[in-house]
Amino acid sequence: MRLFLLTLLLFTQAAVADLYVIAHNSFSEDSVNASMLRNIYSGDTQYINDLRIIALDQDTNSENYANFYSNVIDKPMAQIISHWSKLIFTGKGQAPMSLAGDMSVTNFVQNNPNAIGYVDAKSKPENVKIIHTLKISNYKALGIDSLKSR
Amino acid sequence: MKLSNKILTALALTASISFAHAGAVAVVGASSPIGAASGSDVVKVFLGKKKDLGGVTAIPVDQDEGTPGRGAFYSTIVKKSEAQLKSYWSRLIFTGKGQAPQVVGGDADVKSMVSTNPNLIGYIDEGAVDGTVKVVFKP
Repeated sequence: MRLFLLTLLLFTQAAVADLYVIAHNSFSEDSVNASMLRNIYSGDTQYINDLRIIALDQDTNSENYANFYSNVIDKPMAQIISHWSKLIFTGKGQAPMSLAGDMSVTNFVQNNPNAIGYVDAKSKPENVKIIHTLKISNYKALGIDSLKSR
Repeated sequence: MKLSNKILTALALTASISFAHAGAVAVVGASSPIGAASGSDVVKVFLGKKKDLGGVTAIPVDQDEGTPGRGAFYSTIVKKSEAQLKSYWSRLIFTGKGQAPQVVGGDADVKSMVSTNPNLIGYIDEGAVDGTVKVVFKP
């Protein structure tokens, strides 16, 4: 049984894609850490160094969206949404703006120096700076968190 | 405070009040591919119902609550109060259908954001329009 599970995990590993967090070529940093991304995408800050960031999302029903939030913020989506809603009500911050698909996000980031976004690594984004690579955890991507604890 | 300072302050106040009366206009960066737009399209972009203008991706940026520009834009162009806006966005966020525009500050902040990001659209007081921006809608 253990061998079977192991095989299953190895097999699923290939099926799950990594995500790249991308920025404009003029972006000052070579990389941005996970906690910075968490602050930007939860709406707690709009800045990386002195640059005001326009954070881009993908469609809420997309796989990339689910993978991004389960890995970067690591909170239930309902909690993230209620946090955003609170920010709107207090006028203190904003949630990211969504665009449909890797291509739209990449095009936007290529042309807009204040934007960052995330795309499937398989889309091989060009003319942008890759500032973070998210290794999508198989357990999370497949919604089988419970396996990990066995 | 010297008399001359008082006069200057009074002049500055008068100037800012008269600018506030000029009303809000929708702007993009001077070199943005986004062209002139209708009022209803601009409203749709700011309410998250539309993501492009004339086929060019357009993401809106807002002004801080309480700025004259924001007051003028939402009352005369979008025709929604702050309370209506909040309940509108709250509903969209909860259903996962949309996000309120990012708040970036006042006229100067909007100008600096749109002038360097060709796919952003904002609104500023008409009196603040300069060579860095292009007016795409004026009511």
